[in-house]
Amino acid sequence: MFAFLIHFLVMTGIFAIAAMSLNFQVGLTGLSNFGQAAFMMVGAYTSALMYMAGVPFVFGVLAGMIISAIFALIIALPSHNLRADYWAIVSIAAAESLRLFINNEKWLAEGPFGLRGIPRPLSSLFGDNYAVFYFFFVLACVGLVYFALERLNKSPYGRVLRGLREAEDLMEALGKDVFRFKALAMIIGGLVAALSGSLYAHYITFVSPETFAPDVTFLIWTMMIVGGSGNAKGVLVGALVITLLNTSTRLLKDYLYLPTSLVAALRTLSIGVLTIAFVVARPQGILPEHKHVISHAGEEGVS
Amino acid sequence: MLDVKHIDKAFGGLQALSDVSLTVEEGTITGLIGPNGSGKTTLFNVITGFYEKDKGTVTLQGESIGDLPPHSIAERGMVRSFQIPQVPRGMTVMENMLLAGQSLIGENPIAVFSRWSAVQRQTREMIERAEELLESVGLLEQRDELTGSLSGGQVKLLAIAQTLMTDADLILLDEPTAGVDLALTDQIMELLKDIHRGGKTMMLVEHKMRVIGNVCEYVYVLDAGKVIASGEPTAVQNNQRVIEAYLGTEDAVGGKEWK
Repeated sequence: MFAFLIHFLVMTGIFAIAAMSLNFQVGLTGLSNFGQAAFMMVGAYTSALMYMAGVPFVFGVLAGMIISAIFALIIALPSHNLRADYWAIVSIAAAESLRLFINNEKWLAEGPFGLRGIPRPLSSLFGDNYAVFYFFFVLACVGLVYFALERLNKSPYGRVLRGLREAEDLMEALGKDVFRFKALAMIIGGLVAALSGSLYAHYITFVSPETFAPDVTFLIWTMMIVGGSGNAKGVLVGALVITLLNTSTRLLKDYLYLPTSLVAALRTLSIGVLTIAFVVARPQGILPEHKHVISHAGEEGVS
Repeated sequence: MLDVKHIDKAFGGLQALSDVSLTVEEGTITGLIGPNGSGKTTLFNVITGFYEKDKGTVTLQGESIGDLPPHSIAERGMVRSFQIPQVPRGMTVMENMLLAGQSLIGENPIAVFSRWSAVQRQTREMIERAEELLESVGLLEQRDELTGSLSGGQVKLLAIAQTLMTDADLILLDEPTAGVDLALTDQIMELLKDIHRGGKTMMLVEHKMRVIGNVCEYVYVLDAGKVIASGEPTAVQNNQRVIEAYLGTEDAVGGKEWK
């Protein structure tokens, strides 16, 4: 049970990072990124391949983040004038193109067979307690990402992101280069999502194109919607709730002796029903976006 | 200060503006009037870079700005408001004001981490200024309210305060008194005159002749995409072509909008 709890918390942390990244783009900026899995994939594959080739872990992760940022910029360049719904189509198309490219090549990453036996950094040091170590490592990453994105949210930069979500023309009229702000939001989100992907790859030790299918993107969306779009704390809660449903339903197999196929269906069903319930009854999520009250001294309170 | 020459703009087969030229002299309040659909807002959109023009030039303080995107034009000191004010409803009045600050260090995401104290210092300066401006338009009490909860009139005032916050030299206001009651219209007129005394150059689109006559020093009249008259407000008000274009019939001269 303890092993399961640690596993659950690690997965929550990994997905929380991806969900905070998505929240930065969608919840704050209003850019409907439906290709989040692809940014995770870039991070996962880059750091896995580089680590397997002998590059130090940290450099592999950073390389993944940089390539993911470039991928984000490539998506943003032609799409910056598009409305949210068209932006969604472009991002999912770009993500699927990348996934299908990896699926159909053999020379780089073993195509559909994926990368097996991705080594875990520092594994010789921690032995059987590796998951516990990894939990604290992921927790530190969650904390760092949370701090960084919240600071950005409260900064003049983040304020413009929230402004252009509702009033893009006004931002242009007030002298803000809207494209620059949007492109940077995609890049920042891309950097963070790649980190999440790397953490996943070195924990699970196996990734394939199937790992980053569009349903992973949808899972991250549900975390944001259920938790509270625009509120980073809410998104953390959302990641916890959805990961709980996503990982614990497989326990049903052990305790209720249900067939595997039924459990998989139950998992998808429960997450789907929960998401629909929230969209209908509480669209602002568990913790709604809060009002940014700024004091005379420039401090930001929560209300 | 602002020179607009020979502007043509068509939407498909509709010629929205044809050969429109006008000048805004530094230190004046210039009015732009005309019936609905005469092209006033289109002209605003062309001048401020929101629409691409088919022909013509726009010059701001000697520099050609005709091909610049809207944000570059705003950075050069010409800022506009919108006829239907755009306000991010989920943000407070103060946040809306801070959005209008210019050359903010904290708009660079790297500086947000590397120069946080400088960002904070600048934010405090901006807050001081925003509070002064909010006081001058009578919105200081609403400082921490969401703009979504403001009345229509308060939103109009906020939009004006926002353009002032940019510290632009030339302010273009698109119907600052549209949909506003008489008392608030008077308040806005006084506000505009105050701003003018503070050294700002302004251009406004208006429907109410009362506002034009009271506030503007020079007026251009647009009809069906053409400038049909220009001059001082009193001269323009009595111009026969203007009366016909604006009101259709002479009987309506006594109408409410006119007086």
